[in-house]
Amino acid sequence: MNDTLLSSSIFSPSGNDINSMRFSFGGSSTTSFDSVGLDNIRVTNGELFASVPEPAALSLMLMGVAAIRRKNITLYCLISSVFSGGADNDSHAPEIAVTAFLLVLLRQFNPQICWRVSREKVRFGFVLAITFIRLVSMKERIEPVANLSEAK
Amino acid sequence: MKLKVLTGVTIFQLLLAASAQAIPTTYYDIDFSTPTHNVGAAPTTGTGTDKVSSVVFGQPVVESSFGALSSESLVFNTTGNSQRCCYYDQIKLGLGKGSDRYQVLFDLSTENYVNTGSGNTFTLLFDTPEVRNIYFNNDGTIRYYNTYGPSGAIGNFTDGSLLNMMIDVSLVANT
Repeated sequence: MNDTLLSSSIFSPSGNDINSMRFSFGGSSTTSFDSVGLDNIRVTNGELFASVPEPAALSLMLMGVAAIRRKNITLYCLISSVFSGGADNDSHAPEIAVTAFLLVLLRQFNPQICWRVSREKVRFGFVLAITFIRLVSMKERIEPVANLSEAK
Repeated sequence: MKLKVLTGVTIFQLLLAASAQAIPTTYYDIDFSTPTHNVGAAPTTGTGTDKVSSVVFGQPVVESSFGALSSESLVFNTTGNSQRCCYYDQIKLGLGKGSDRYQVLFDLSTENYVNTGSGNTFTLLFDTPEVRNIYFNNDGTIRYYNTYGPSGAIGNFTDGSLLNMMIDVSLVANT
């Protein structure tokens, strides 16, 4: 059996949401000897496929931070656009562009307004929490890819 | 000082965006196992992620295993579907979640279906509301159909084989 990842423009040009999906078996005249089995139906909002490998994503994030440290907003935006990745159509470019824009704005105003509490503790807490979430979610992201490999 | 604050904000925002991207929202995760579902009965319907929204037509039944599917599975056939309205066994999963993207996974297996003179077709219908279908035809071909766009063959299968289907729908990219 060959696995096929459907990449054709099956959904163009509707642009509408999918109201429902149906699994259906039958015909205008039926036969009774044939049957189909269905199992393990899973529907998500589209984060099951690993897009950017975790180490690569982390490296890009760190490079982005380094770019900010060097006050190089252009480099940051460039790295962010790579991070958002066009290969899987999973674009976060707008969010990251807004982030970069806000960072530029913050440079013009008093940034302490946004950071009154103990920033080191908060930063460490966020990094720890997000890292944990990402580690847990990695299992979710990798399993389906493994299934695809097994099927091949 | 400003630089440190900017770095902190950047780390937070980048990690937050990345983590939000990483955690999938599950709309359905149905394996037809007990206690939600019962062998020998119709699939349990309801609003939970482990339930089918509704049985639209016919009498699909949960079985302990089926063909290459080693655990509880939902079996479709047209036995007993005598009225024209109900020639089909059909289940529905409601969506309309406002997502840009849907990824659909399921396992499929067939028996006495491919090149046996079967009068039936197994179809996955996406109601957008324009119809986009994926057909698992009784000649062993998998085809997709778009009312206004391209259609064509995307694969083949045989009876008794295990198909791990993964369908990635991007409503933004129209793919």
